[in-house]
Amino acid sequence: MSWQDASDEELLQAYRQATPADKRELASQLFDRHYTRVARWCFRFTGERESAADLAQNVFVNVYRHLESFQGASRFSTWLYTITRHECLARLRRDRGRPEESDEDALVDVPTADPGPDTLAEQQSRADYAHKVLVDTLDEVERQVFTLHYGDDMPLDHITRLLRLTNASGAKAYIVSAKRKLAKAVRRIDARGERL
Amino acid sequence: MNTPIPPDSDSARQHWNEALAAGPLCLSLERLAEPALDAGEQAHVQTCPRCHTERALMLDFEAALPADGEGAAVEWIARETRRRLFPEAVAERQPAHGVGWWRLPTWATSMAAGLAIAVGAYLMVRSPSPVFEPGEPGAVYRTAAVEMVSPLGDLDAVPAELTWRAVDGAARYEVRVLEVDGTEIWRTTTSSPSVATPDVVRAAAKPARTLAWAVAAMDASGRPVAEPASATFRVAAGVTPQGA
Repeated sequence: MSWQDASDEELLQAYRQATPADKRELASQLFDRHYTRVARWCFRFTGERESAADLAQNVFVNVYRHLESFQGASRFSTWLYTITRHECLARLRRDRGRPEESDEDALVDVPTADPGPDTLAEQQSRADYAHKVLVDTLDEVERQVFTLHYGDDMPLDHITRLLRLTNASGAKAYIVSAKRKLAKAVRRIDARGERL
Repeated sequence: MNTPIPPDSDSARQHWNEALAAGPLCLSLERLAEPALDAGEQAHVQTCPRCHTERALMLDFEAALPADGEGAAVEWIARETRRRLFPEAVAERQPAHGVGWWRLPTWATSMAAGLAIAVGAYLMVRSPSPVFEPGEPGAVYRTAAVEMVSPLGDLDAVPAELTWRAVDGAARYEVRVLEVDGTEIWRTTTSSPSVATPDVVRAAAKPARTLAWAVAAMDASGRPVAEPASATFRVAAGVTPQGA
């Protein structure tokens, strides 16, 4: 049977009901649609094809292991993005000798926050001021570079490739610019006595 | 609370690290993946660097558009990944080369062996994945989803028009152009598989700023005849948007 015109979700539905032999064929067909997408992300992350292939392999092995339990709370490609991103950041932590987070954290269909009201208010108020400063001060690309570098500890060369920055010094230029703007902004805020 | 800026010390970096983590009001990845967001979601994404960045990366992942100089490497990685996972699919088509099973982690090799045993002698040879070749925009294809033709990815100039492949059975198309945060910039309906870029979109297409566009195909009664699709594009830095 040809699944060429089937959506990812239809393929997954068939996968859940298939015999073991057919499952492998269906998974192969599903993955065929996404190898290039994952390969591109991994290559941009590592900048080197052998390590990118290792990362991509890990992504699909994880997907394969959990395909049966994926219930389709999100689109397959969204789930795949989640796993790809998690695998890349886990690789970064491994390279730096930091403890890894559990794979299971990234393998639920799509994680959603479910905090209590007190926690929600506390966390949000802590972040709101920082977010406001960033949004008011930095342009879109500077914010993205800043978020990935300081929020995810992502190296600047990785960010340069992921965001496809083509200027001579890549993400470094945006970080330098962002820090200069933030320093100027905080002087202005302090002068007005508005710092929270 | 006092937010130390800029991040020039370890404590300041730690503070930013915590401030930029996904918070309780952050959108789920499922929602961030949607081309259009509701008003409340848009308002959050506009003010949340984490969600804004995550959404831009996710849309980029979904679009899977090539960048200069990476085509051969990406093709090799994709082929190699497929060969490692489904060796039976390529074993009879080409000799193994490059990174072999002997270089794989033990657990991966064991897993693959286990899968092979479970599957038994079920082997299959398929054609390699087809390479996407953009066709004539006017050609009619029967497809599960609208196929976006242009603009896609990084551009040297503001696009003159938005183009997609005609969908069999479609009487009209609804076209939307959105900010990364989901704010709708422009919307129109057309019976043709292309539409000229309006001034409002030209003005919004500022250098290095990613825009998303989405197309839904419907028959004469307004029923969808294909999966809607979305894509992103970005004018390279240094290009002056026309009409800005």
